[in-house]
Amino acid sequence: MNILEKITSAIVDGDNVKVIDYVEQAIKENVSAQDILNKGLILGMNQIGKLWNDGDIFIPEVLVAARAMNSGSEIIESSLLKSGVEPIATAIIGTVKGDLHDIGKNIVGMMLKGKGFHVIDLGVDVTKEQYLDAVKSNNASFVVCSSLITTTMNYMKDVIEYFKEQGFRERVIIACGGAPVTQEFADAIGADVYTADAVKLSEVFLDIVEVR
Amino acid sequence: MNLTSRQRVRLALEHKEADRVPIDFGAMRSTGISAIAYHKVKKYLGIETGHTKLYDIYQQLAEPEPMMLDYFHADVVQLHRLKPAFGVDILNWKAGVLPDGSECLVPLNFSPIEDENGDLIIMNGDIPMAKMPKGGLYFDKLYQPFKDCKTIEDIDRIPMPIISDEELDYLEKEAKRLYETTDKAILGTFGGNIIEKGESDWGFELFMMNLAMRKDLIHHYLKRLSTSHMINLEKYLSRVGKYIDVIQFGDDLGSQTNTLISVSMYREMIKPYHKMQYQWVQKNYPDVKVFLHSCGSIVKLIPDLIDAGVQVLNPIQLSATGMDPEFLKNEYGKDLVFWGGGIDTQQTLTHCKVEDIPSEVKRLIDIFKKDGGFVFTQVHNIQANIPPEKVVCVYESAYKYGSYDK
Repeated sequence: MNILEKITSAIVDGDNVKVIDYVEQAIKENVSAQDILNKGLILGMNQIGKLWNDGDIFIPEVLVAARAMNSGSEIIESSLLKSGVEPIATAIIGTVKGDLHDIGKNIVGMMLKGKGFHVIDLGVDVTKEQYLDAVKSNNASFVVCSSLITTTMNYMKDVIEYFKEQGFRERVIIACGGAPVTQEFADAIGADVYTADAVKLSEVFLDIVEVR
Repeated sequence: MNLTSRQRVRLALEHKEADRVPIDFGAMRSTGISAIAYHKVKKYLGIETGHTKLYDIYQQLAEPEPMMLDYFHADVVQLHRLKPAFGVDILNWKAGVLPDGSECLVPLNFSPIEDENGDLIIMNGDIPMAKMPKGGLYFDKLYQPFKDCKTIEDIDRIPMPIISDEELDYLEKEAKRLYETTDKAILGTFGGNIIEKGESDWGFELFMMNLAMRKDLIHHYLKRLSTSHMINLEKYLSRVGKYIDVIQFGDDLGSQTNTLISVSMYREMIKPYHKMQYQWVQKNYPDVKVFLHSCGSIVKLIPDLIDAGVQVLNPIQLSATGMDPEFLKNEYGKDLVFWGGGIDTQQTLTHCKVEDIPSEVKRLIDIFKKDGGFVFTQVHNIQANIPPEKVVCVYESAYKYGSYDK
């Protein structure tokens, strides 16, 4: 097993300590930061996504893998910046106004990072103005609105309408998600993307980037 | 057959058909109704008497008044814990205001402070316990006392909750009052949460990760937690066991699409602590049925829950993956009483037209009512934005279609 395969395997095992060791070893072996990211860390998260889709792993295993991915990414972050490697796209994520539930939204953020996206997490109780400001200041092309409760999900429509009013609707892909949200609801409010879980959302976003 | 509510519920709990399917209107913290929606229902019905008590400040739920229970032919009342949420007791009341501006009674010691953003914060001394964002309808927990625990010694430094003598006196007096002054079945809210308590004590993500990575640490924490639960359970039932019909435990084990953890992790990390509590109740208080509230897609765990000692399952989240009512009734109807699943709140009640409700309620009652073993209620709390005509239609339909024709 070469060093990149070891990184991938350690991500799948959720072994934070080994990921750090292997990434540091790879740097010593002059493996580029871009290869560590794309051929080590991201491949590991791709395998996690497949295991999730197949129903072989659950939330605890996804979280430990994502934590390991983050640890590895942090080590190479400055090298990636220095070498001018750009993230594949920037996504703004947040739980909508009036709603403080962030479990699903956080997992979305982890899975998007696992695909190589730059993720700006606005947290919870996020207003439409905050979403748009973040899009403008980060030149983001994706927005993810999350809601857990039926009384807050209608705010997603307000976000979409606000982007229209401000002339930004066509510049971003807006995804909606959360337990009460369905494809029908997402269609009705004019969202671009709905998926039932975070892994699928990251896959759909990646497909969109690749088509562009 | 001329049955009291209590007799009707007891028959359902024994998997026998009564005169009609029993009805629960707001007798549990997940079969409840938002105080805002409750006000609207009263107004819609032209009821101008009485006072709404906001007994659950966390989810902003109303205590249904006797005339409302009678109106909806409800058969169950709740024996509350003394401090249902965030350490605020419900012994005394004062005038308060709901997020929509309507007036109600709130617990005397419920005094959230408004921060610079207009959010409401519930404090316990210097500790912020919960927050309702400006414009929001619920409080959410902020305090995670175990979030910095890295060793067994860290865990041992934090005390576990022990039920107070003050609460035991309150519980006994209140249970006796409900038993003697109503003919309703009594649902005793206990709790006994394992996975949910872990999530709130440690923070969801840390607890979930530690379930996978630090099994030693989590087993130690859960052993301490369940030891305190067992002490509390023995004390609780010694005072109220002769009055209550069901004892309510809670632990959400599912997400919208799957179980939160694998079946094997449930068996290893959570089930032993469920089983300890549930089987103790069955052995020592056979007339008190073990009721578990567990949201989400939990179908894969149901055989293990039955094995652990669950006798009554709620809420039967119809919109979650695999929670098919016909399958559940056919497969597990002999072992479980279904308490809930009467109408889906997340999709149907939120999006449907009033005229769609009767057929949906009838369809679900027809599935669940055979051979008893069913108590009608909607899948979860009725939210603030649900129009009153829908609420009235749900309960009128339940009464209309619940008959066993005897």
